[in-house]
Amino acid sequence: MSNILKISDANDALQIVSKLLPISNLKPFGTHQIEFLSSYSIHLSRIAPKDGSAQSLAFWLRNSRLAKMAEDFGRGHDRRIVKSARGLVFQIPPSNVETVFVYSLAVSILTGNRNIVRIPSSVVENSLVFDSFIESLYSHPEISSRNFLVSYGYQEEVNEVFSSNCDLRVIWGGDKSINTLRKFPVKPSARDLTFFDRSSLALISTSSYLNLSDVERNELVWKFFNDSFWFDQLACSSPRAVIWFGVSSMNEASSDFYERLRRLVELREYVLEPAIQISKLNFLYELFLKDNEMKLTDWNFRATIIDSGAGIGHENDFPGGGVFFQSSIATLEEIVPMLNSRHQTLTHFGFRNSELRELAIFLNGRAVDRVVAIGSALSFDRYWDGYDLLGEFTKSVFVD
Amino acid sequence: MNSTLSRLFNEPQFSLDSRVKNRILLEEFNYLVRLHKEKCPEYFRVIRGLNLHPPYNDLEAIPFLPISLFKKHELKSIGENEIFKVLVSSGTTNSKLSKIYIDEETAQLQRLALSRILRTVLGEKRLPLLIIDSENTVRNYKEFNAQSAGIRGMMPFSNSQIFCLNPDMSLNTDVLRGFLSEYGERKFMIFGFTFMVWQHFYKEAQNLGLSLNLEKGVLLHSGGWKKLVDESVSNREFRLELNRMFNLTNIHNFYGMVEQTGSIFLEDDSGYFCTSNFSDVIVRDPNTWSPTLPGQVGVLEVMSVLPRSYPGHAILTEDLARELPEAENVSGWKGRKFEILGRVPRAELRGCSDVHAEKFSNSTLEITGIS
Repeated sequence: MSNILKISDANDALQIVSKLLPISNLKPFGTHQIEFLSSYSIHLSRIAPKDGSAQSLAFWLRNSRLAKMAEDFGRGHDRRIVKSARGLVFQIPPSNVETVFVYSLAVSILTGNRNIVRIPSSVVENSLVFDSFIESLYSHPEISSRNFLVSYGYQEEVNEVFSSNCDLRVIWGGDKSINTLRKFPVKPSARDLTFFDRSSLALISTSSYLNLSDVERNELVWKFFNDSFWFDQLACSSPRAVIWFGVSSMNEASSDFYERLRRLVELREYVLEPAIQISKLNFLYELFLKDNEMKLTDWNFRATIIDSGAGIGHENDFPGGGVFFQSSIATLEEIVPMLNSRHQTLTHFGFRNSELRELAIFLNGRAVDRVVAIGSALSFDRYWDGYDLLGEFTKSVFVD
Repeated sequence: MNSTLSRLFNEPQFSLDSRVKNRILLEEFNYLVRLHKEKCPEYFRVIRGLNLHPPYNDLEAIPFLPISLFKKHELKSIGENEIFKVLVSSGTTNSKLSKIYIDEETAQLQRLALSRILRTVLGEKRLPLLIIDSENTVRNYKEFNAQSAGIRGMMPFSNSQIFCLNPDMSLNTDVLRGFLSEYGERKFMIFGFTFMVWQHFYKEAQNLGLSLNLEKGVLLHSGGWKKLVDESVSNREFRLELNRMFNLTNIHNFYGMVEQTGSIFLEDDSGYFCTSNFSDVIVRDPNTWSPTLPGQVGVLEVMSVLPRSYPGHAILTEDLARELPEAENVSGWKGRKFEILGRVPRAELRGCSDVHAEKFSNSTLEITGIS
């Protein structure tokens, strides 16, 4: 893609920085940004497949949504605060979830920042999301002059130049990527926004599930399928474990749920490359070799269910593609020891809002940054990974 | 040796009726699962975790181990004092090695089984052996490699050996002519790695305009094309060309691995790999890991009744294969036949964490299995 600047050394990087430094920030939620993002949204919604992550990205950036976001943002702080962009943002998106780089960049652009985005090589290869973004970008000069998409290999000097010149560094891509970038200091006034390795889980009330009609059950399973399989179960917010609330009816509820899920996996013709299926097997065998009490409920690879007792930790080498740990609890408090700070999203079904709030208050930051209904695991929002992103990408100027 | 196992040794290879063979193998594999469950703690945990317990009513229900497990764990069903030898796969530089622990019993079974299988094409007597390799390959004992293991594995079936390549891999025509004038009139054997036979023997002879008569030769070759993927030719073309060029009709490719030494899969005249009395294969659909319909491509599982000292009786390889459908299995030997279609291609994983992208590496499977 010719619109990505290839960077080969520190000089190239410095040139980009010197182009961006003299340019002013835009006003948060200014018309240039709204126009750009909503035109991208329209374009993407036309060309993207009907159902999938690209379509929800387009939906998130539609004009009315942006207007609502601007309104909420304006109301969300003290009248004496003037919100302004942070300045020059250096973004390192993950290599394999193509929509994340747009979400992250969109929030930064909306809030008026100038950006240098390192584009991972895997995104470039025939990505609808990416190509249409570039197209829209270059028809909006006020935006394209403030945003540079760059690509480079492992050149440390390039990371060094961008890191030492930015006001905010945004690092996706998990622990490894964070540890690599942390070797390069940012300015004393600058800070990092980091997205470390996370995993997520679902919580289902067995009695509520069993009260559902046949159609309603299918609907819930369909939502759970989307949460889990859109990114081959490797997005941080996709559930890897299912906790069943209600011990006595767990078998009845879970076997019905998985049967529907497996049927749907087959119906949606979800298949994985053989190499990934092999890595799934390797993961399971290595897991069992650790001499725990975990075991498969049955031999099935449409959705592979592991009875995990009370252990549903965060597995670093998780292969995705339809592997679920499961466990059951009799009271909501019993979930607490199963959770740790690696757990990001808890998707739920069958609980009152007050119960979930109570759980969040009880956890008090020890685990879980998002508690959302099943079906919303991947719904991107300004509140993500424990951050208010609109807040993180802006400064608060106090005027009294 | 129990009576079912001895039957597998005593009956002629590639001749058992499939129902009879199936029954014998099922009995043996049920025994082996129980044996290894009792003797190998890692295997016990795997079976417990998989939740698949004996007895099994058919071969496809026997739990298999993915081949990578042997690279990461020392799986053995014997005590340290019973280790007779350790077989090591030669992997590529970035992959770990498989370590296979052999006791005397298993070593003996491997030797016997290999000789029973090769007897099918070599006959009872030892033969003169023409090796399409350089003597340096076996001289260098320090550096373990599949090539030298393969060559040394063939030696016991021969009464004299000649290496016909120079250290620089050029053809030593004097030695070659000498061998043929001395032994070429009666049955003799030829051994080499597939790509060596093609690259340094066939092509070289063609370049030099050599005319050789290998009519009495039996060629055994193995190893595939992994070192010369660009040069790779189809098995059919390989056979036709060697036939045309050297009058060589007795050609037997074989497929095996260090994890199942002894029970190699030998090619018959149909050009497919055949399962001997000691082994079977199941081509599995990677989306369900159930057996594919014959004729469909899947991932190959190899089964062998020989491993007693380590739980290597059922192994899922990382090779793609296709089983020959019954209807097409009209010539040659009896039993299940298959062809190898290369390695499972690497895949890019998705995910928020970039660790995943680099984690999956396709380790190289070593093809020898003779040792």
